[in-house]
Amino acid sequence: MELVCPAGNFASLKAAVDSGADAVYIGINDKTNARYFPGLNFNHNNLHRAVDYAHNKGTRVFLAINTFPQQENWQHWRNAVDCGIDTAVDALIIADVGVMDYAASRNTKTNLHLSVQASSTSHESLLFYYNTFGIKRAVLPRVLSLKQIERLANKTPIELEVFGFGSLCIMVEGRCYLSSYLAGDSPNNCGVCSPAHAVDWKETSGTLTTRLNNIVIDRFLPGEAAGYPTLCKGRFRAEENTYHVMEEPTSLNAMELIPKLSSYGIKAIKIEGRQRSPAYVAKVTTIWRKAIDDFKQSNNSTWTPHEQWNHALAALAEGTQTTYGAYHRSWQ
Amino acid sequence: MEPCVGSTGRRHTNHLRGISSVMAITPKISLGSIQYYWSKQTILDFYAEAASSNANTIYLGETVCSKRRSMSTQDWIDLAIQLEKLGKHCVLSSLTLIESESEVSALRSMIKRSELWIEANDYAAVQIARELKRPFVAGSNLNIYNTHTLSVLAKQGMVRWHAPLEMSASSLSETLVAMQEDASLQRLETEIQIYGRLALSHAARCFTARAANLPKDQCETRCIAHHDGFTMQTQDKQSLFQVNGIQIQSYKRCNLIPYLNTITNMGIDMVRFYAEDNNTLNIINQLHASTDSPRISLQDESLCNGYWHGKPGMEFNIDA
Repeated sequence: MELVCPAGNFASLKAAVDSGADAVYIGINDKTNARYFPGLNFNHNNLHRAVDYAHNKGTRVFLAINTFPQQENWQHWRNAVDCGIDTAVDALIIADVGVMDYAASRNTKTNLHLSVQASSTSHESLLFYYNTFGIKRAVLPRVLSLKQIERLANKTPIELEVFGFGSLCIMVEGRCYLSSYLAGDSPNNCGVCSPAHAVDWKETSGTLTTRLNNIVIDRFLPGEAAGYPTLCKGRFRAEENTYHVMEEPTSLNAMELIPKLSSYGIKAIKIEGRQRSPAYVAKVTTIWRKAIDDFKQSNNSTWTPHEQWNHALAALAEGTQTTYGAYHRSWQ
Repeated sequence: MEPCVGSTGRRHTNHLRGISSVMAITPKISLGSIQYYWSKQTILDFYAEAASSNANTIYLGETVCSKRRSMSTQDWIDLAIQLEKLGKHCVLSSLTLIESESEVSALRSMIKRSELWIEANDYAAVQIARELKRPFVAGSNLNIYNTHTLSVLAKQGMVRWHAPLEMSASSLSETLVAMQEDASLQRLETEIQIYGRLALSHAARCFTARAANLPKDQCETRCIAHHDGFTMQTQDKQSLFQVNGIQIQSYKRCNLIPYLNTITNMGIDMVRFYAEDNNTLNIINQLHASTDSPRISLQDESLCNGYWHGKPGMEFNIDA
């Protein structure tokens, strides 16, 4: 199984490459990718440098072009595809059918990967992209249970990549309009969720209230750890109770599932977090590299990760909690 | 209501006329599939009334959760056949989030069993419809934001597309103009949601079961107890979302009825209503050709139209 790590800038890319990533995924600094945050991503110049650095060390580079262009700004997505091919990245990660069609029409050796943002969760859906565009790999949305992934892997001719660690989108990716409903700037079109410009933190009498475009997302009493107001992880009132109606602030950690995922023939594990620091990327990549190598060496289906790896990952997780997410049916 | 322009009668040339021009055409009215879990009798009663409404096209089927089985696939097809006899055009809607093999099999069986058009709410439905050479309507969750995507799908049998919920009037206009310039897209019908709660997301997790402290696998289909879901409020008691099983909806209802003139002039062929109860049918029946002023209040705090203006979806702008 390959380890695919995030790189929001050159320093993170170096961190991922030097810590043992088999591949890194990056984006161009415009709306064409789903982590369009200030100060992140690559321009056309340092993209070359990034690809050279990774390739010199035997690491592959995937370019995420994983948002959906609108009619009026199509040219940016087309440019991103051209730029990726010209820079000799190893794969383009694409969500939009039109962009995929354009990339396929370039008839390039660059592999086409289906982004998680394309919301493809069944063999018939994957077949659509395989038959139409000849995609090589698909990244699965974080909505399938292990059993469903196993069945899918048995049936599809396409390489599968699944999320192993990082922030957990609990809604099917690419089809979540919660953030744009509150704050505008559609994640699908602009590449941001719960955008920073709409976030407000206010403390009154010791209670911290977080808001998104003036809508209260959560309230924290003194001593409670306050998280970023990601909409789906706020506390709301429903049926007379106030609780995390959708999900707690928590991160996915699927390290324990490496043997199963490997036995299903899953080709790659993806680490979320292009918005994270180089230090974070280095730590997470190092631990996952050790885990995958240790599993391979053990060649044992009952392999379990070392406790200290899980502890170290939990310390890096949102709310210092981790979950198996939808992989375990009981979470659903 | 005047007869509407047929599928072969697109008049995109109207697009550039001023919005004050007298409407020559009116978009057809469609009724979106029921989003909630209702009993079979409630469903049949609803459609008995819908049969005599101004709706031209009726989308039928379960799109949210495969555990909701008050109606079997055959029940939906039988209902569609009855409604077609009464002059309605019926389309079978597919599940939005497909996770299991059994859901894929059920989808294939639904598409095979009748000659009805299919609303593809997932690319699995597109793939099967294409394989079986069946016309399909692309649902809003297929995320079609540009003519490049439209062109690919039109070649595969798409006959109508529903724009994404968050698409602004301005972006939609750009797309419609580009459609006119592409001969292969000129016959394709365009549909938008004009009224009703917005389906904002779907998840593996069932939020109704979670609220009842039940695992999804033992959910007891509790959602049948909520006629139109239940409300999620902020901690300062502002109603924000509506919980509907695995789906989260906007609490506010989208209302673009005041923009019907503009919508017509843009060349949009069909406007969709989502119902929470029979009252939506009354609203449909209040619509008249050449009116942009339905008898529903513009001051209602439970309405929104932000997406249409390129703003946060929850906003409501009074500038019609």
